[in-house]
Amino acid sequence: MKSYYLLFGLVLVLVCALRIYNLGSNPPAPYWEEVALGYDAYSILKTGKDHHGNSFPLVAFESFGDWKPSLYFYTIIPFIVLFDLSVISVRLPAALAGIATIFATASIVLLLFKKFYPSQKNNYFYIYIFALFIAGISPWGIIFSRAGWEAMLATALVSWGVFFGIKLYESNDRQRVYLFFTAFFLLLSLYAYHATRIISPLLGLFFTGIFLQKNSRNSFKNLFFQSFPTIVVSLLLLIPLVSQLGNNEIQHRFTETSIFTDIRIIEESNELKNLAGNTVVSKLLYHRYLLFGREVLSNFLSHFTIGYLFVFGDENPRHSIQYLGQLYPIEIIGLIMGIFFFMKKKSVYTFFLFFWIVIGVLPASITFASPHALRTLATFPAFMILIIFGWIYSVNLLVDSFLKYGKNGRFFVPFAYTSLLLIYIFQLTVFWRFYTHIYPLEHSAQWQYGYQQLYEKVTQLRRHNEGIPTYVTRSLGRPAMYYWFYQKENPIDVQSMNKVIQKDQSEYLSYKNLYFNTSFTKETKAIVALTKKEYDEYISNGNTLQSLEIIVDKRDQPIAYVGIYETK
Amino acid sequence: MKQNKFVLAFSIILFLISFGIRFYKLGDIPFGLYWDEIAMYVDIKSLLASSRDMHGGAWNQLIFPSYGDYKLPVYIWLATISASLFGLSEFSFRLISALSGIFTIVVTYFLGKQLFKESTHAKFIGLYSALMVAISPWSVMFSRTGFEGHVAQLFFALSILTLILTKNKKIFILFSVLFGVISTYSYFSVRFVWPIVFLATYFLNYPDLSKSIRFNKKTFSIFGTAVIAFILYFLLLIPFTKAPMYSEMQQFRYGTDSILKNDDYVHTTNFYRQAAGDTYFDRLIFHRHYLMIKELAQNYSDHLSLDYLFFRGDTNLRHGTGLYGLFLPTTILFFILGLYFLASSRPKQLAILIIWWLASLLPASVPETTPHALRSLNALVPLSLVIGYGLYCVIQKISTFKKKALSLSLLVIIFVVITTELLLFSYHYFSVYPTQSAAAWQTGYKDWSQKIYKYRKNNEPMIIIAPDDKFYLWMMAYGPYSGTEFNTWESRNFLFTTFDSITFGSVPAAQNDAIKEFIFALPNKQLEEFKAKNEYSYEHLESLPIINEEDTFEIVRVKK
Repeated sequence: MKSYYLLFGLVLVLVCALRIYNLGSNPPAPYWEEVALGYDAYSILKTGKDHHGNSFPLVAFESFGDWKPSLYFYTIIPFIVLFDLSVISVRLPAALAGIATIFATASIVLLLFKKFYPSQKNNYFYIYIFALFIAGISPWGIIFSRAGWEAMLATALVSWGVFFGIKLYESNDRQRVYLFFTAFFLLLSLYAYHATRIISPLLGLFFTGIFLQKNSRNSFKNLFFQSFPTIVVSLLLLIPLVSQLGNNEIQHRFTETSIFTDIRIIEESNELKNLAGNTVVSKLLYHRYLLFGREVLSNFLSHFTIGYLFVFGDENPRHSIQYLGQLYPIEIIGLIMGIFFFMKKKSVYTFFLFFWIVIGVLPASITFASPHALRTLATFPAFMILIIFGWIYSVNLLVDSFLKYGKNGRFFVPFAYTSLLLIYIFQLTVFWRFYTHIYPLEHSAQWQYGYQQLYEKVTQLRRHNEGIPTYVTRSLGRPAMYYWFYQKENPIDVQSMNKVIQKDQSEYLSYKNLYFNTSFTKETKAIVALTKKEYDEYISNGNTLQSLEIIVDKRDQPIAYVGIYETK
Repeated sequence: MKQNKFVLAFSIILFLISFGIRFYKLGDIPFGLYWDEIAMYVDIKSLLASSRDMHGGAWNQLIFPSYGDYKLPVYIWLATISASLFGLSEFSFRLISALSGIFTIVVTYFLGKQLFKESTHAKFIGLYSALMVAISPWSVMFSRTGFEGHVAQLFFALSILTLILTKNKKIFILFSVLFGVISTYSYFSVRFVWPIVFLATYFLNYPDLSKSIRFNKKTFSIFGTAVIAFILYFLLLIPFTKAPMYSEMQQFRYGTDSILKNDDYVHTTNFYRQAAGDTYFDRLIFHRHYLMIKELAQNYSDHLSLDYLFFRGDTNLRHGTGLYGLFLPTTILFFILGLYFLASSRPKQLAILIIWWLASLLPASVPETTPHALRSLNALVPLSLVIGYGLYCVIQKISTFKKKALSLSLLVIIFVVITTELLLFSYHYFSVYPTQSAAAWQTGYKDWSQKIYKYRKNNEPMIIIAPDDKFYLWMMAYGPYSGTEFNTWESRNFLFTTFDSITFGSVPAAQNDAIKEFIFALPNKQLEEFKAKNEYSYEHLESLPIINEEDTFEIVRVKK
């Protein structure tokens, strides 16, 4: 018995360490969405209003005009209380959500294992640990647990919702409790991330159907009694969202990223029709809906290529380290075997897992930039379940074939699992070594690395030159938010300027005597921060900056030039 | 009896469909011959007239230098036979490919029948697989154009078919090797694919071997045969490697961009190693070979993508229609189910087909342009067999339904959907694709060359500046030449720049005062430039369109 707990403890430490170790410094700096999340949470904590002055937004925060779902902001608040406004506070909710997701995944695996292998009672705990380990070290899960990704929070909620949904289907007592938690987690996830606003309702429908089918013989009164708490909490959770549904601000996000606004496809359709002479058949065959349908299918299928899943991963370096895919290479075997296993089982879970993956990939299929590991993060647990069962099935197959040859197959089980674990540990080492040593150097620009150093220098100069205006370039992205974040600027000051200041899509273009542009030459004296390109252009005319400091990245490449400008 | 009637009826319909879609307007659609096609065409013209190729090489040489890209001989030989029977034309030239397509369908039928011999419905599996080849956009497209790879693919499939028959009659292995060699002499990259598929199929075909290997006479003969066949194959390739120009050909082929030569690997891994601390472990895990394998895996992934197979196809308009994948869209369902059913009940066949498929992708995955429908053409038959098996299983499952009305209506739906898709594909291929792909097929060059000769009087000198440095091939193909004169003309690095008082691609030649009067053919912009600099008298003869461009191709007579 003791060895169980020792193993469990080791895996638990590993899973947590992979998510929490050096959380504040790798990824090397907070991405602009992270500082926006952090500062708005800080603002809510201090004043009850976001930085635009909206008090306690329930559905979405205006932020940079992209109307971010609200839940993640509120989860940051307790950590700001504990650790002040810092990168760690912004990232901890995602890290904890990542850990919660792994536990949900392992719990689902255990539920299904009990169903598929009822005779292997002795293995339950080992299977649980095995599942924790496999899911816990997956690059896909680790990467998105280590920055302020709202999608990770949504995934944790979805996976716990699914866990209770399966409990609801599998057990005969405590229906009320399971139903309540299924609804609670799935509904809450609507407030966590855009994509789950499509995924969770569909999953919810599925579980409602299962619940009703299971209780089809129950009287209406009984049914009502069973589901009463659920109905109450559902209504409570739905009202704010439904009341905002018609709101343009929510739809804005969809129209911005949807492929249905892609003019190229309409042009292609028209060109093909013209080439065919606008015949009736051509109007049908080259109809824009068909071409859009093909585009959606293409995007959908792009999430199931070997290159994306196992070799390079998402093209965006924030979503994948680029050296490995979203999953480990060896998992191609596990995934194929897992799919085969579930297809052979032909149980309701076969349908359910494929349904989960299909609807999980759907939001990413109707938007630009696919394959997209972040928008499809809610399918991560489903992929892990397939892979874990793929391994369990493979080992059992091998054991069976060993037994056939008259050897003692049972000895083979630990051997098979051990070699699998060794392969995994090797892959994890490669991943971790790359992620900790090379990734921060290679992709620091993707994380807006340098703002902290830049503002340290700017503040130092401002202290020595009081009253002098400051000009910070916008080319590095969202300079105002970074200023407030690093200065822990008083939110009341920021809110008070909301109405007066010129903005671009809700982003402040100036703040007090800071101006986020490069037209500093109209001043007689100014503190200036420029990118390399802007600086080179400026000095090419023989100009100079005084008390110049060059902000460099981790490979000593210049990011920004900070100094004082003065007319001659 | 009933079964045989069905098979007969099905075969007749299948034959009509495949014949119709491959022979309708064969030679005319796609519009025009592409570089490689026209080069072979010129060689054939020369072979017919003089038994020598355009550079004077003997007809039975194993490497045709062509325009310096060193072509393999089988397609040229076959098309020469076809041209001597039907007269030299685009039709007779592409006929070889069309016939290869038809024979591939037949071979696929027998492959299905032999591979699934244990099934009582092996004939149906064969028929459905043959149908999938017949209606696949991939096969249709390559049946209508003169690419060597398509012929190679037929002989490859034939080789595997005869290999499977070896189990009944040992002698068939000789045919298998022979067809393998012919396939390799048609398309040289087959030499990497054939040995893999040959060995895998051969040994998987003896399932008792894997259970227990005992060193008795039978095992010995099984292994011995394989070894002899294998050696024989490579012995038969020796003449090729001894052929003149072999090393030049190899040099030319390795000149193309591929994953094997990428200087970035070392650069990248060095950075990784330095950043990680350069321990022995770092040198192991950040290795340039790993980066190469990753590139290879990515290229494989491009070919394995379902999007490519069923919806997009090759984006090169010579290898794809731009609208369709390699197979018709709905067949994706039969493909996925086919894989599943094969995995659950016919693992041996699945292993053969998968190995065949993956090995076929190797020549397409090493070079940089991926996915590549032509270089991976050997995957046509195994994929069709997987889809055909899926279709068979679906139909089988449906016909066992208790409700006859339901099963009948489902069968009708499948039939209607496939027919509609085939009709729509044909519509696209014959109405829109030809115009859309015109530029990719050098459409217009034939017209230009014929027009130029039309205006020529008494062999007057001509100077031609075409947008394409291989334009002389069209002049040779469609000019008033019998073909005997080609090998008397002078070429440099297998490219012609002047013959029959025609000079190609040279502006200074037009300014040479020795020539007082000549025909000048060139794009309008270059002509305007020339006119501005040189005050000669210009007689405008004709303006011809350049496909997909606003410019025109001008023919003028210049007098000094």
